[in-house]
Amino acid sequence: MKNLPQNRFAPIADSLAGRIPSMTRIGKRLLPSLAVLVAWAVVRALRNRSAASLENEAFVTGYSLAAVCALLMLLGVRKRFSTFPFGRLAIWQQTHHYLGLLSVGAYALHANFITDGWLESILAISFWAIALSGLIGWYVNHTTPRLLRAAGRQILRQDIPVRMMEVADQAHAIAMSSAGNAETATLADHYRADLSHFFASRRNLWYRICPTGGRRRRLIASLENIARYLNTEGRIQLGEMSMLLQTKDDLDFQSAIQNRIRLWATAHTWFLGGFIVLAAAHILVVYQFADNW
Amino acid sequence: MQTPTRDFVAIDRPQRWDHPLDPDMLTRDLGWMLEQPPFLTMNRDVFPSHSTLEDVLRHDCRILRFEPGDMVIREGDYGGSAFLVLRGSVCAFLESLWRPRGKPNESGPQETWLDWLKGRFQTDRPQPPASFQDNRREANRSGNRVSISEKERPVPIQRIENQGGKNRIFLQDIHAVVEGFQSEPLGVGEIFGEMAAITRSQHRYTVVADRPTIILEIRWQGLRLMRRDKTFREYLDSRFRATSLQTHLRETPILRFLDDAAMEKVIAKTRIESLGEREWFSEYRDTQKLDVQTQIEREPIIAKEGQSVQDLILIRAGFARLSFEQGRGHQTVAYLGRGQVFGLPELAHQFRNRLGKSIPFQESLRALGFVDVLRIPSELVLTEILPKIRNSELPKPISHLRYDSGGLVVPDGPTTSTHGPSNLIEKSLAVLETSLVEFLVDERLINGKQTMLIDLDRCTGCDECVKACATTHQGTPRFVRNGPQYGPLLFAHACMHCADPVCMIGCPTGAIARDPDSGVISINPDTCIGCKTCAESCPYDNIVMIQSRDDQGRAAVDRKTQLPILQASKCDLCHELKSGPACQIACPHLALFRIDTSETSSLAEWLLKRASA
Repeated sequence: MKNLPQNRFAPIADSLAGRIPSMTRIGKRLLPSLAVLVAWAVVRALRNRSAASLENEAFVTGYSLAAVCALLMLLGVRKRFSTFPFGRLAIWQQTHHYLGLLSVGAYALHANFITDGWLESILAISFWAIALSGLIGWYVNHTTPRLLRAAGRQILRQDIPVRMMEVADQAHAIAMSSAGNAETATLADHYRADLSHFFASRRNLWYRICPTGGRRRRLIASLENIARYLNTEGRIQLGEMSMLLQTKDDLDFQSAIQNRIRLWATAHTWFLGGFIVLAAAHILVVYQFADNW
Repeated sequence: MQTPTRDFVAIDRPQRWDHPLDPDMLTRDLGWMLEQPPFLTMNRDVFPSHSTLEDVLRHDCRILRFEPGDMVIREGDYGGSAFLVLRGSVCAFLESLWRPRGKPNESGPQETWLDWLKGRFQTDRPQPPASFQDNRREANRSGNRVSISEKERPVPIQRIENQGGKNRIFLQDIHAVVEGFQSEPLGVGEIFGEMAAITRSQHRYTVVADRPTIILEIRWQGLRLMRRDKTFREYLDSRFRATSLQTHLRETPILRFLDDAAMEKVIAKTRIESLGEREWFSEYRDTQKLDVQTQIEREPIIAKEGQSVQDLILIRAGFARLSFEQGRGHQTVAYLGRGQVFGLPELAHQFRNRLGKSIPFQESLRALGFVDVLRIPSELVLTEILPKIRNSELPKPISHLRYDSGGLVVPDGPTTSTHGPSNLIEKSLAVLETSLVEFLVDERLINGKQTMLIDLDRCTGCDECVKACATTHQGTPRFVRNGPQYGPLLFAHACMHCADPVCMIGCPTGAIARDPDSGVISINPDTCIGCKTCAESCPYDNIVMIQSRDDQGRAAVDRKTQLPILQASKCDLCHELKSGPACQIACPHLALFRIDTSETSSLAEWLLKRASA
């Protein structure tokens, strides 16, 4: 894979097109942010008017929140109808992000961040869980491309196990070839003691959630430590082993990052499902006791 | 015919000629055709017993009848058939009647959700006849080559009329149009449209019937079989060369200032040369395994740096690599495609010096696959062509020579590419770094008209694109989100709807074909017999064989052998969806694009947009 600096074309683009990119970027974010602010101000004004006329303002804010949540769910519906000309999914996703922001504002107006009662408390936890998972999703979506690129050439998720097996086989072959010679056997011993498990197994849960390079660095350092016990041929084999170790770590990293984004999508959907059930129960309870207000 | 079982359905294995071009052809018509030239004189012994001349005529041909003014072929449409005049005559226009057509899949605006909603509530209304009245001819087309001035020229108006349930497309007031534009009459026994069919490209001219005419349409597959007859093959080849030379020269921008006499001189002196194999994919697969420098050295050389400029070279078809020697290897600086010129800066340099000392070629030009070039002798360029070109349109003077008449010059400053008079190319090359150009050429991505490009700085690997593709195509995605990678640019394994679609060459049934209007190459599942020819021909592995399924999603198996029936599958750009390719629409991160990589300017433009976003 050849490297292309990220902003290689930016200066040429600016000079040729005569644009100010930062203004475009600000404009792209500023207008929807303003729209969110205006929508929130409208909900707040409606709530104040309702309170002034001695009505229960929770109905206004509650229905506003329900409406925003319904709009948020439209993204999932849109994804299932890819053959219909409903516009680019990217626009829907952007709208979803801003509506998510609005939903937090609407929730604050509705529940003042503090709730009492067990159903409401669970509903609140569910809302914050979904909001938090949304925020994490936004972060994950923004950082994943960079992380994947850092791990070298992108490999399809379904191809990763096959590649891992190939790498493990190659490492095993190197270890076996080094075992026959006393001057290279240290590598085989080291492989059996420290590396074979690394090549043959999946990484732990914590790594899969938050992958780091700590183990790779430790293992490479341990390999470097045995270099003094090897002859020239053994050192060549050590170099190859070190390369394979890096490749395996890159594959683990790619697997973790690609799985993480899927795990997040699943979690967000499950939280959403739970929230819908609880919100429906909340509305039923509200109407059950509406006469008391 | 179908015998349903639990998970699969047994059917008869599809065969070549299950779907003839004209299923209603009468035996009487077939007999009549066999008595017409050139079929009457064809040597029938050269046809194998399983595909005799009668078989070819019955299955790959159809008789078409045209009224005066009816359009037989239209410039810009992609060709898949040749046409033979059996009765009457037609008029082939040697110059463009309308401005150039759009790129593939850009024939109309994409449908928005509002259009879609409107469509749901509207009843079918008859469409108004298409008219090209608003289309203006290219402003810079030759004004002095024909005797009629631009103002006096009639504007060709295309009309559509429904006759007996069939749409008839015709030119209004054909006689006025014939008088206003350069045209060539074609009579009984003459063949046309074969050039586009053979090269799998767009028709360069419009052909209209000028009296009641009977024409035989021969689809490409049949034409290929008929080429077994030596006389017919030689006739086709000579006609191909003569027609292509004339049409191409008349379309070349730098020749547009020539008057008729000068143009005739140029046509008479120009030589046509073909390099490489038409079926270049098999050789490409072999050479791909070699190192890059060996690959370059194996490419047929069209012009070599340091050699004196004997001709101005025009690329008529295919692609060529522009490179110069750098150390022990060759550095690629650009690729030239149809319509581009090589050697003009060197000749312009000589012309500016008042025909003084000539300089040799500053770069080499090598054929990538199959290339057709036209060579105009340099004396003719210096005396007939360059004096008529405005100074501003000539290429910039070469500031740092790489070679002079004494040989290689030790550079005293930065050496730059000298080729091409076009500012667009120069601007593109300023953006595209050499290694990217080399990558595009080495991977032959220069062939792509609709190359799928994924920006890895945006892609999260969420596979929404793959899911959308699968949803649109009965659960089977038609591309793989993987492929050659250059930095953050991933050129995915998806059909590129190539400029030169070699996949179409061997298809025995014509199941894989290019849509004449949109340029989209798609596979007709009804006529695909699963022979794998296209999948094996595609140099990019963008066609895969999948198990054929019926409308209910059941896998098809051969009734006799119970073996699965395979069909070729590839991206069809979701041409049935008015919203455009589903993968592109479904990408939530705006990471997936379709780019015309056959032109450096499209990619450069996209890269600029990307950088400023």
